[in-house]
Amino acid sequence: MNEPTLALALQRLIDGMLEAVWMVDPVGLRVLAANHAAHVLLGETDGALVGRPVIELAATPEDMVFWEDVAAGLSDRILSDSMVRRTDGSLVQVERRVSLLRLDPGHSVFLVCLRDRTEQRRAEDELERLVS
Amino acid sequence: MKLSPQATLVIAQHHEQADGRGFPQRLSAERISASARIVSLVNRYDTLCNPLNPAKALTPHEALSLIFAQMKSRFDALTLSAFIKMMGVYPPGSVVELTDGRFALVVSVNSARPLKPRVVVHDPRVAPEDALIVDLETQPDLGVRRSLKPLQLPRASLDYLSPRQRISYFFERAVEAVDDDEEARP
Repeated sequence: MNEPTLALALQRLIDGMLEAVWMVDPVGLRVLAANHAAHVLLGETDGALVGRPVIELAATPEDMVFWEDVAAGLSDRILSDSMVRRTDGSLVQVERRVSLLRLDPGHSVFLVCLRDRTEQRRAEDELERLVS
Repeated sequence: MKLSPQATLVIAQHHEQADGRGFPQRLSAERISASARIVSLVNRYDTLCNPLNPAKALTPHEALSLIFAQMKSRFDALTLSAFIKMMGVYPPGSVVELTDGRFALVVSVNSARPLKPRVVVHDPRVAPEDALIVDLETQPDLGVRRSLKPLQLPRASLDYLSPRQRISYFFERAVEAVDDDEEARP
């Protein structure tokens, strides 16, 4: 499967997902496809994420280090709470999972899934304030 | 008080910002002394971890993430990079939940693999005095899921790990020091 065909197939796959999702080329570490929810989460217009180096989207030291580890061949997965930065500079608390999908022997992509934790975090902070 | 000129300079400049928006003099980065840049960063980090209202305290991991994500223009890039390298992504003393759901205490930084620190894991089958230190670098399937405030731990994990308010540890050198003798040698 050539790269444009692969990118189109991936785009159709993730467009139906509720979570914010983008897919990353494991060699060039650039965004191959990103769904509407991902663009909304980051405050971007649809299509603006495609082609961006994934390191540009890393807002925290943890995400920077993870993608450096990926580039060095030291890691291919992570699941943790993190933050992303919107285009207006504000931060969004997220749960972020990255995993390597092997589509067939010749192709693999990184799948980045993010869940907005803003409401959960607000509830946790409020609970803590009431308890303290 | 007979403070040294360097100390008084730090006092005068530790609220200045690298982007020139600090106070009292709105100095640009190159006009702020190296010592003041360090104290400014550490002061901010400490304020985020230990605010006047303890309910608003961030974990060390959250504080580092916030400084990096939202405030890095305020701090000198080299100082911030060295600070993160020394502290690690999860600074020692951090209480964390691992990806398998167990709770643990970070005990040392792995500067080559900051996402893989060494941790003491709460395992009810092992006595606290025999608790094993797990090097996450040797556990490819295990990682840190999130950092927690100590009070968010279940009671049994809190008693087992007994996180302290303060922790002492040695830093690995983040930036090579310039050897004056070496530099002067022809």
